[in-house]
Amino acid sequence: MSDVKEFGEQIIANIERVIVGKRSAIELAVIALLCQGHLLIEDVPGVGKTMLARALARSLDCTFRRIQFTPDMLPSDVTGVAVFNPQNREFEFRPGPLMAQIVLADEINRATPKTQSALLEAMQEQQITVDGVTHALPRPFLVMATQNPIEYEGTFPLPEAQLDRFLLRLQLGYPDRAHEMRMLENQQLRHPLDDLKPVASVDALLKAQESVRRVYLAPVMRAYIVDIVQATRQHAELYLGVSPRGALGLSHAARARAALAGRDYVLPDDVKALAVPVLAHRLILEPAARMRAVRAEDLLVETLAKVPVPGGDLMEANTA
Amino acid sequence: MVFTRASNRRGDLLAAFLLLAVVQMAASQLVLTGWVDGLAAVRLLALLGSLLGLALGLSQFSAPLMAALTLIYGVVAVFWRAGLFLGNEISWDERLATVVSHLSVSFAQLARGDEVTSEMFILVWMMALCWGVGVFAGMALWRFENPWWSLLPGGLLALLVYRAIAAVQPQSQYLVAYLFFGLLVVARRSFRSRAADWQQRRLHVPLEMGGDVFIVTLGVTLGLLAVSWNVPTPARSSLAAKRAWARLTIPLDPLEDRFRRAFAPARGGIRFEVLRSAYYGEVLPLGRSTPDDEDVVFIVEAPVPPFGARYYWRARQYDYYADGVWRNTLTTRALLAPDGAGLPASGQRVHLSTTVVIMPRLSLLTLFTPPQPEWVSLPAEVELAFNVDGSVDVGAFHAQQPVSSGSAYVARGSLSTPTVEQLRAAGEAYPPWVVERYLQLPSSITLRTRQLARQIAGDAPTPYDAVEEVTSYLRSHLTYQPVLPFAPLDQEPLDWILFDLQQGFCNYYASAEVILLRSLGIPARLVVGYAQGEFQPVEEVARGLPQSGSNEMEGRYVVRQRDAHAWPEVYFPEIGWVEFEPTISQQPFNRPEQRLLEDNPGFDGGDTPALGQPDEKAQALLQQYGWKHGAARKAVSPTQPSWPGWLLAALLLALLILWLSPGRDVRLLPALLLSGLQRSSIHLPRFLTRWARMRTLKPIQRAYNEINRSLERLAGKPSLGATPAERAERLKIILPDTASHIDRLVDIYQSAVYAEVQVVDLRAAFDASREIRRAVYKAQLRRTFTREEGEHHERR
Repeated sequence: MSDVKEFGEQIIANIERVIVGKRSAIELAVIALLCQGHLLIEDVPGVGKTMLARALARSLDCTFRRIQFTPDMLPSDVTGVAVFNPQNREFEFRPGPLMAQIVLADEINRATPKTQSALLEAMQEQQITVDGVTHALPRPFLVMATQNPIEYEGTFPLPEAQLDRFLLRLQLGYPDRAHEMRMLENQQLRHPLDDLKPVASVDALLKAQESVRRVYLAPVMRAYIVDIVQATRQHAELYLGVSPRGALGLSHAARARAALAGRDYVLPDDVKALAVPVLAHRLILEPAARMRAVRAEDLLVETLAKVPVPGGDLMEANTA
Repeated sequence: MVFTRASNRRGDLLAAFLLLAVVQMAASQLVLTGWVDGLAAVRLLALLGSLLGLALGLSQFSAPLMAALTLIYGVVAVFWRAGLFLGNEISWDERLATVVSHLSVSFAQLARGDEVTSEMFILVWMMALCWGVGVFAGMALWRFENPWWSLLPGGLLALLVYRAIAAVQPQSQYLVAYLFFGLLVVARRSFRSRAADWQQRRLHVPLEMGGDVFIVTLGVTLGLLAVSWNVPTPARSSLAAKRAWARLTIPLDPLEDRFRRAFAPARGGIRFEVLRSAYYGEVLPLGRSTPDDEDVVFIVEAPVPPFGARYYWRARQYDYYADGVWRNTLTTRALLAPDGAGLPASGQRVHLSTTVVIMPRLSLLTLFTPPQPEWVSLPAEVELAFNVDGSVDVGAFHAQQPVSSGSAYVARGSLSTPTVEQLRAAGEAYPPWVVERYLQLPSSITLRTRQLARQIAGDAPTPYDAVEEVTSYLRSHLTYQPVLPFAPLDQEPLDWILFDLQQGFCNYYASAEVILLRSLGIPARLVVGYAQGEFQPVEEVARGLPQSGSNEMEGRYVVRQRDAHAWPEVYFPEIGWVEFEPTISQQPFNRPEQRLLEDNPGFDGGDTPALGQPDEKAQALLQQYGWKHGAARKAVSPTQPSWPGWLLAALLLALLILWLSPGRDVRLLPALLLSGLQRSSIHLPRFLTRWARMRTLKPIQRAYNEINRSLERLAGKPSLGATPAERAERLKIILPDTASHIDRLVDIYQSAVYAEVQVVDLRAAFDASREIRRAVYKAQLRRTFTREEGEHHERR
C-alpha cells in the first residue's frame, strides 16, 4: 500500500499549499476520491470550499466544474440538454456542467427537488440519460456538494434519505489564528492556486482506487462496524439509525484511510476516526432530542465509547 | 461490601431457618471440644444471637444502633446464662456479683501475666463469641448483598476449632453440616435476590420455581460434600507438609502463649492437639466435673493381675500443686526408640513386670502404660528426670505421631505388688530426690487442712498406716459427686472440698490425699490416666470381637471415658511408688498381708531383658500381630476413600487427559464451566470469571493485556470503545519512558489481530510487556510514597 500512501501524501501536500491548516478535511476529500464516493460540505460561506475542490482538481489534472444552484435551475441546466442543430437536423447533446471529473455543486439546498434529484441520480448511476440517450460520466467522478447551514429561507434542505448518498460529510470551519494570518500573507501578491501544478495522474488515481479495494478488513472489524451501525439503530435518542449503505460506506472509507497510512489492513482506529464524517449525516434524531439541541455527532461519539472494540478490552465476553 | 437497600429487604423464612441451623452447627463444633464444662450453653447463646441478628437485619436500624442493641442484649444474655450455672440457692444479685468477680479477677491475672484460674472466664467469652457470631450472621443475611458474609464468622470459628482438635479427634460432622447448611443459605439467598431482580423487570417468576431451585441445590450440595469428603487426601499425612506448617506457625508461639494463659482453666489447656478428656496436658486444673460417657477410649489385652494388685493405665504424673492446679516439674525430654530396652525396671521384689497390648479406639497422643512404665513399641518422647541414684522419674510417654484408632502398640511396665507387711517395714529413709520433689506444699494450704491431716493420722505408727488412715477418711467423709458447682474464688479448692462442700470426684480425692500426706511428711504424687476398665473374659471376646489369639490372655479390659481417673502414689523406700485408692467410686485396695506363692501366668517375674537387648516377649507379641518395630498397624483413617471418591478421581483423570490432549481447545474449559454455573444462577466471584477469561486468551493477547492491566492500575479502566492504539496512547502519557515498548507491543498486537497475514513476534511482544510491567510497578511504588502535586488520574 505504499503507492497509495505516496499518492495521498503528494496530493495532500500539494493542496496544503493552497489551504493551510485543514489537513483532516483534505484527507477526507482524498478518501472520498479513493472510495469513489461523494462529499458533502456543510459550511459557512468563504472558508475555502471552492478552493479545496479546485485545488484537488488541479493536483490531479482533472476537469473541474462549478455549479451554483439557484431555485430556478432546471435539471437540464445541470445535466445538459439536447439542442436541435438546424444544419444537421439532429439533436446534439450539449453536456451540462455535470460532465466533469470533479464537480462542485454549490448550495445544493437552494435547488428545487427536481434538480436535486437529477444531480443525485447522476451521482448514483455515474451516467446521464437525456432524451433516451445515455452518456457515461467521466472517471473519476467526484461531486462535492455544499449546503449553507445558516440561511434556510427559500431553501430545500436535502432530506436525510438523499443525504445518505453522500459518503462523507465534512466541515472546513474557520482557520485558526496562525493559519489565517499566514493565509493573508500567502495571498498577498497572487493566489497560490495559480501556481499549483498537477502531482498525480488520473491513472495513478485509478490504480490507487484499485489498491484500496484490496485492503484487508478482518472479520472482527466487520463485526465491529456492524455493531456500531446496529447500536445507532437501537439508540434511544435516534429516530433513524445508519442504513446498510452507511455501513458499506464506512467500511470503504476505513479501507481508504488504512491505505493512506500505508497499511494493508484496517484498524479500529480507522473506523472510529471516520465514523462521524461517514455516519453523522445519515442519522435522524428523535424530536425530543432535537429540541434539546443534541447533535448527532455527540450521540455518535457516545455510541463509539460504548461499543466494545474487538481486541480492546479482552475481559469482555463478546470481544475477540 | 454491598449493602441491600432498606426497601429491598424481604424476609425469607426458609433462609432464616437455614441460618439458624448454620449457626447452631458452628456452636456445636465448639461444644465438641469440651474445653470447659457447661460449654453446651453456647448453643443457646448462638440461637438467641441469630434470632436477634435476623430481627435486626430486617429492621431499619442504623449500624450504631444495632451494635448498641447487640451489646446490651448480649451482656444480659451472657450474664443471665452464666448466673444460671451458679445454682439455685443463691440470689440473683449474688450470682451476678460472682460472675463479675470471676471476670475481674481473671483480667487482673492476665494483666499480671499469670494464668487464669477461672473456668467461668472462658465460658463467658465463649458464650459472648457465639452470641456475636449469631447476631452478625443473622444481620448480614439480610443486610449484605453477598450471602457469604453471613457465613464468614461462623465458618472461621468452626474451621479454627476443627483444626485445633483435628489432630486427635477428627470429627468433622459439624463442619460438614455447617458447609451443607451454609451452601443452602447462599443458594437460597442468591435465588431470592435474582427473583427480586426479575420481578422488577416484570419477568414472570413461576411460583414453584423457588421450590425446584431449592431441591436442585439440595442435591448439588449433597453431591459436592459427599465427593469432597471422600477424595483421598495424601497431603494430610505428608511429613513435609506438617513441617512446613510448623515453620509457618512458629512465629505465632508467643501469641499462643498469651492465649494459653487466658485459657488455662480449659481442660488440657489449649494446644493445637487437644483430645477431649483423654489428654492430660502439662497443667491439670482440678476441674468441675469428670466425664461419664461410655465411649471406648482403648482396649487392653493384659494378663490378669495377681490378687491384691490392679491395673491403672497411667498417662502422666504431677508433682507440683498450687491453687487448684497440678503441674509437672520434670524438664528433661528423651527420645525413646522401640528397638532399645527402655527405662530401667523398678525393684523386682515387689513389682511384677508386665507386657500389655493397647488398642486405641480414639487417636491418642499420650501413650498409656502400666503404672511404672519402661518401654513402648512406638517411638516416644518421654518427660523424665534422671535421679542421682540411677533411677528414673518418668513423667509421661508422648507419641511422636498420634496413634490412630484401630492400630495398637505394646507397652511394658510393672505393677506394684507389695504386701502390707513389706509396706509397714519400709521405713522413712527417703532418697533426696524424693524429698526435693514430692513433699512440695503451697503456702495456700490452710492451717485447718494441716490440722486435719494430723488429726487423722498424726499418731499412726508407720507411714503406711498413716496413708491407710487418710485413705479411709477420704473414702468415708467425701461423697462422690461427678459435677461440682463453681468453686469460690478466694478459697483454696481443697480446703473448700474438705470442709465446706465435702463432695468431689477422683481429682479431688487424690489431690486431697496427696496434700494431706505431704503435710505429714510422706512423699506422694498425683497420677492421672484411666482406671482398670471393664474386664471382658475370653468367651465374650470370642463372641465376635477381634482378638489377639494369644493363649496366655484370659480376656481384655475395655476402658471408657468414664474410667478417666486420678489416684495418688506414695513412695516407700526400697519398694518404690505404690498406688492407693481414696476415691469411693473405685474398689479399695486389698493388699495381701504376706506374699502368696502362686505362680501367675503371663507374668515374667524376674524375666526382664538385659540392658541393650530388645524385649523378646514384646518381639514375640509384635510378630504375632505382624507388626514391625515402631510402626503400628496401618489404621483405617476416618477419611477413607470410598467408591464415590474413586468415581470423582476417575472423572478428574478424564478431565486431565482432555486437558493435555492436543487438538482440543481446552483453554475454553474453565470459561465453559463457569458460564454453565452462571446460567444456573450461582453467583460467582468476579475474580473467578476473570481467571476463566484469562485462560482462554492466546499468548499475544496476554502480552497485550499488560497494557490494559497497567491502565487499570494507574489510571482507571478505559472505556470499552477504546481501541488498542488509543489505550496505548493513554499509557504513553502516563509512562513516557516506556513509549517505545508500548508502541512495539501495540504494533505487534495490531498486526496479529487485524492483518491478513500475521507475522507475530511473540518474543518481542513479551519483552515489551515485561518492560511495561516493570515500569508500572515503579510508578505504583512512586505513587505510594510520594504525593505528586496536581496529579490527576483519569477515571471514567
